[in-house]
Formats: sequence, structure tokens, C-alpha cells
Amino acid sequence: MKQTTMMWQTVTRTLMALAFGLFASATLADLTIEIDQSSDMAIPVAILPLEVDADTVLPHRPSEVIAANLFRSGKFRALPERQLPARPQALEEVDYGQWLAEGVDNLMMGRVEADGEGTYTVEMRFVDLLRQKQVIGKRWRKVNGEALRRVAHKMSDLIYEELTGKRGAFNTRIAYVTQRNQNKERVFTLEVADSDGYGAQSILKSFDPIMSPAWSPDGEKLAYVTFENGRSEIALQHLDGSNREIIASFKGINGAPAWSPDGESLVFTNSQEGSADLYRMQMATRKIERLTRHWAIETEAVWAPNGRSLYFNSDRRGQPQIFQLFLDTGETRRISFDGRYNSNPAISPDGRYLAMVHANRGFHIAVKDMIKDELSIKTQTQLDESPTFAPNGEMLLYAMNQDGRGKLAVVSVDNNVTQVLSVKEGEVRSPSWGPYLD
Amino acid sequence: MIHFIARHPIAFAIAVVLHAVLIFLMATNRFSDFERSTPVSVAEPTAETDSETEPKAETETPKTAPAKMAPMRTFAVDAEQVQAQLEKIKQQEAAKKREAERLQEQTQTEKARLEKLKAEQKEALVLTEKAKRQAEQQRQKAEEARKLAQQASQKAEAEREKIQVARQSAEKARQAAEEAQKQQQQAQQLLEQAKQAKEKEEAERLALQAEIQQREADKRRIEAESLQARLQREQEQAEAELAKQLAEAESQQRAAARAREMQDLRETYISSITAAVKDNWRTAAQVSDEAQCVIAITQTPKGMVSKVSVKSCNDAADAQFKKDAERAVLRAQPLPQPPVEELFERNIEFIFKP
Repeated sequence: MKQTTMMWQTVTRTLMALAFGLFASATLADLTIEIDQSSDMAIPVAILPLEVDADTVLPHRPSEVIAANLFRSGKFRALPERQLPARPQALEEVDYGQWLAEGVDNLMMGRVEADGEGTYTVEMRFVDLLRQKQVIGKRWRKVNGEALRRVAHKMSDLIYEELTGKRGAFNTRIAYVTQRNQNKERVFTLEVADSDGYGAQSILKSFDPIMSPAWSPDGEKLAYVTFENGRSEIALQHLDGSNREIIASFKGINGAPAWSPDGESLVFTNSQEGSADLYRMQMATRKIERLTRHWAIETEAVWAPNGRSLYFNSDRRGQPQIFQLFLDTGETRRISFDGRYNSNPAISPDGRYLAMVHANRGFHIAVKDMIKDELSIKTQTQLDESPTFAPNGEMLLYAMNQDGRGKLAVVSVDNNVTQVLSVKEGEVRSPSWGPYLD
Repeated sequence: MIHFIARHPIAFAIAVVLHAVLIFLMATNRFSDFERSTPVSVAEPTAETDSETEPKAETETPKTAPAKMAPMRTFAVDAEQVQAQLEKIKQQEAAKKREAERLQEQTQTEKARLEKLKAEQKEALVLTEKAKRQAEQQRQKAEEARKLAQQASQKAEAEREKIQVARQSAEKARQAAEEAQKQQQQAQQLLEQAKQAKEKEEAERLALQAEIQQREADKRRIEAESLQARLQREQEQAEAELAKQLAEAESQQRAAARAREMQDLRETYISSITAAVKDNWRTAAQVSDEAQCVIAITQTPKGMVSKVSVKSCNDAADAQFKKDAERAVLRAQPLPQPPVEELFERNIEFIFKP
């Protein structure tokens, strides 16, 4: 209800706007990460700085990227550099007892060598100090300066997988919308950044609101809602800015796009028949098909990972609640029963956890364990909305309000450790966590 | 009053004299006839009890009364005096009556006392009589005793004489007897000699017999003794066997108790290892509460793990859980030492559940 009301208000405001524009720009608008809290449960890990030749100056320090990644997960903490008792460069140089005495069970070491062609060879070893053996050994060749961060994320993923059994989701990207005031005008940008908020790139700039970016499963395209034509429409564009097109500008509202897991269809909300209902568009033919027929507002659809059903928000029972629509039979069942308000569903990649905006003394992100049928509230921030799972399901990214400003926050699903991501002099909204990059 | 006397001494003297005369007259009972002539009938105090039961006495009284009452009629007194006199008499009568009652009472008391006295005297008499009789009896007894003593002394005298006679005859008899004895002794000696010879022979025979018997007895005794010894030996063996068995049983019990104790200690040891591993359990993974595995450890005597393997896990334990369980074991190094050295086990298996 609230969401819909907001949407209508936005539409009205957009109609009143006199100027609008479209820019594809490469302006950096990095997210600043504030560590909100750290967990007592964090396991210490030694991440040694990668050895480099004395005359080589790296544009990025991969060990710092890794340490920050591990810390952000809420599960690990890298030993501060000054606390490292030694700097072994080879496995034979590792004094296991020395490291174990520091309470550290794992050690990462490696080196970066300039190959003389402006690129680098990066090598890493990850040592299990308890079992006294190397558990990861990896080498990347011809890595350019900027890609050092990408490699650091890949290294983080390997370490994360070794220590948790789950694939890391550091080497991923996120999309979000920023809003700031520029010459007394509101400027909206659609940004894509690394999962740590670094390397943000605006792929769209507009004086009209941009909403609900949605990643295509291959991670190459984004669908989103734009008001550039005075009304809500769904646009599609490649990350490099090319092949941009408006794919849905039907009568009434066009909103809340959601890609099917196979990427062949897109479900969105449209109100051409009067009330907002869910429609499915075949991407190949652009044909649409109505999925729900109800006087109530049906919106915010997300696909179940198996692609056979949709979770969506409907106020058919008087207040917004989450329902599930089975696409083969057309059956609908109610999913959320806790509280009077549940909206914005997001399903974890394994289909076990359903995140939603849950009203309980304010709006928070709650996660329902679909197997245990238990709902737990994950956030303590204010006016939380738009939850989106990391592709490994271990973390949730969402939008919230802090100090009167829209910011993003990341919370780990199993221990509630939260980090806040914000932009300078602006607000951030509508986050969407992209798929694995490779 | 004194003044009156002082003024009229003569009159007072006359009055005193008059009163004295009157008192004298009354005291000498000159008016006793007068008193009896009063119409108030007063019975004799002594006869009162009888007068009620014996009307005869009452009828007799009037016969004598007229003769005695005659002088009274001529005695002129004024009415008041008479009245006063009557009053006085009445009072006197009453006093007399009271006196009579008192006397009667006294009489009765006296009578009772006399009776009591009489009874006491009677009793004393009886007692005296009794004492007398007893004395008589004693006297008779003494007499009898004296007679008996006399008889006894007579008897003793006779006895003495008899003894004297007997003694003399006894002396004669003794001499005869001695003679007889001598002869008898001689005969006896002969007989004795014969007897001894016979006895000797008999003794020899008996001795021989006894010897035979003795030998037989010895034989039996030896046999018995050997049997006894054998039995004793057997018993001793049995006892020794029993003692041995008991000792074995006891040592078995001790061993069992020790084994139990060792078992307890072993359990404590194993659980201390389990606890140490649990303390060192750390995971970054999402682990099910139900996950559990059997962990097999090979360790050095100093508790350093030379080999650890995780096996027979339940469905809730995934690969990451196994890996982390293994890490927990390694992190727990050195493993706790056993409470007693002999409990050390190189290979230990335990169920691990974080």
C-alpha cells in the first residue's frame, strides 16, 4: 500500500517536472563503507601483504581488499599488519606454532610480479596452519592494474569457500540508484559498482526518478523503471550503456521488473486493466501475458530459483502480504502471516529464505526460513526496504534511512552483522545484487 | 446510795440484819415445805425418767402432798410477794431442772465410765488368769524336765555299768580273736603264696594277651592315625583350595572394582578430550544443530594429534562441518592428558557434536 502510494506520488511529481535528460556517464560515485558493528564470532585470519619487487608500485593492494571483504562478511577478521609475527615468503618458512600462538588458524601469502608489459602475475597460497598444509594455491597472469581488485575479490571468494564451504560472492557487482541535488535540481543516477562499493559507474543519469533495477541472470543487462517520458516505463540496457530500449510502456503503471532465472522472460507490474496486476513478457517476442486477475494491487514479483513460481506482494487481504503464484496451475497461496505488513519479497538463491520488509515498530528486513517456517528480523535500521540477496545467499543488501538520508546496508544472514554503504552528499536507494561474474 | 447509808445507819443496819436472818432461814431450808406446796408440779429429778414410764409413782405423790401442803395455806403474803416468790421458785425450779439434767448427764457419764472400768477390770482379771495358767504350765514343764533329767542320769549310770561289763568281755574276746587271727594269718599266708603263684601265671598270660592286644591296638591306632592324617591333609587341602578360591574371588572383585574405576576414569578422560575439542570448535559456516560425527584420533603421548579422521557423520553434517570438526581437534592440541598414565590411548574415537 505504502509502496504503491509512494509510486503514485512519484508519478505525479514526475509529471510536474519540466526538464528531464539522459546521460551515460562514467562519473565515479563510490560507496563509502562504514563498519556498523563487528561480530565477536569473527575468526582471525592472517592475510599477509603480497610481496612485490622493490621498484614496483601497485595501484591497489590486494591484501587490503581481501581483508576488507573478509571483515565485511562478519565472519572473519584479518590480523592487523602490525600484529603479524612474521612475513614468510614460502611454505617452508612458515613457523606453524608461531602463528597458532596468535590464535590464527589460516594464513594467506603470495606475491605480485610485474611482467614488464604493464601487467602483473599474481600468486597466492592459503595455508591451513592446523593441518600444516597449503589448501589453496593459485596464479593469475597478465592482470592489469585495475584488475588487481578483481583478482583480490577472486582470492577472497576462494578463501571464503575454504573456510565456510560456500562460494564467496565478493567478485560480484551491485546496482543502485543515487539521488542528489545539483543546481537546485534532483539528479538520479543508476550506478553499478563492485560488491565492496568500489568502482561505481553511472550507467544512467536522469532528472526523473529511476527505480527498481533488475539484473539479467547473465549479469550483462539491467532492466529498471524510468520516468523519463513522464510516466513509469520499463527500460532495458546493457551495462556499457549500449542497446538501451524501453520495453514496457503500457497503459497505466509499468513497474517492478523481474527476470526469470533462465533470462527468457520478465515479469512486471502493469495496471492497464485498472488494477495493478502481474504480467509476464517473453523477451524474444515481447509478448505479454496477464498472470493475476484481482481487484487488489499485485506487485513486486520475484522468481523462485526453480522458475516455477513467483513470490509477490498483494493487498488482497486488506494489507500487503507475500503470496506465491504457481505458474503451471495458477494457484496462489499466502506465504507471510507474521504482522500486518509484509512487502518487497526477495528469495535466497537456494530458495530457503524469503526476505521481506516487515512492519514491526518501524520497517525492518525480516527473513523467513521456508523450511522451519520461522520469521526472524534481521535489521535494526530505519525504514528498511528493497532487500536483495548476494548470489551465495550469505548476505543481504538493502536500502534504509540513517540521519535522514537514504543509505545502503549489508547484513550477513546468519549473524546479523551490518555494514553501511553510503555516498557523499546524496542518497542511495533501490539496490540490486548482481549474479556471479564468472 | 452511800449518802443514804450515811444518813440512815440504823435503818441500814436493821435492813442488813433482816436480810441476814432471811438468808439464814432460807439456807437452813425452813421454807422447804413452802416450796413443795407451790401448784407447780415438779417431779423429783431422780425420778423423772421413771415418772414418764411409771404412772403409778405419779398417783402416789398426791397422797402425801396434802399433809405437807397444809402450813402453806396459812402463810400470808401479799400477791406481789407471792408472784415474786413464784417467779423465784420457777427460776429455782428451772435451775434445779438444769441441775438435774446436768446431774443425770453426769450420772450417765459416770455410769459409762464405771462400765468401762468394769470391763477393764474384767479384762485384767482374764489376763491375770491367763498369766497364772501359763506360770502353772511352766512349772509343770520344769517339773517334767527335772524328772526326765533324773531318769537320764539313772539311765547313764546303768549304761556305764553295762559298758564296764562289755569292756571286760571285749578284752577276752580280743585276746581270743588275736589268737584266731594269728592262725588265720598263717593260713592266709599259705593261701596268699598259692594265690600269688597263680596270679603270677595269670599275669603273665594277661601280659601276653595284653601285648597282643596292644600290638593290635597299635596297629589300629597307626591305621587310624594315618587315616586321620590323610583326612586332615585332605581337609587342609580343601581349606587351602577354598582360601585360594576366596582370594581369587577377592582379587577378581578388586580387579573388577579397579576396572570400573578405570572405566570411569577413561570416560572422564574421553569426555575431557571431547570438551577440549568442543571448546575449540569454531566455524564460519552455517551448521545445523543436529550435525554430529564420530572423530577418530591418533595421538602422541604428549597429546599431539598425528592423525585425525572424521567418519560416520549424520545427514546434517556436511563437508564443511567435517573439515571444521577436524580443525577443532587440531586446535585443541595438546589434547588433555589422562588422569592416570596407563589410561593413555593412542587411538581414540568419540562422538562430536558442537
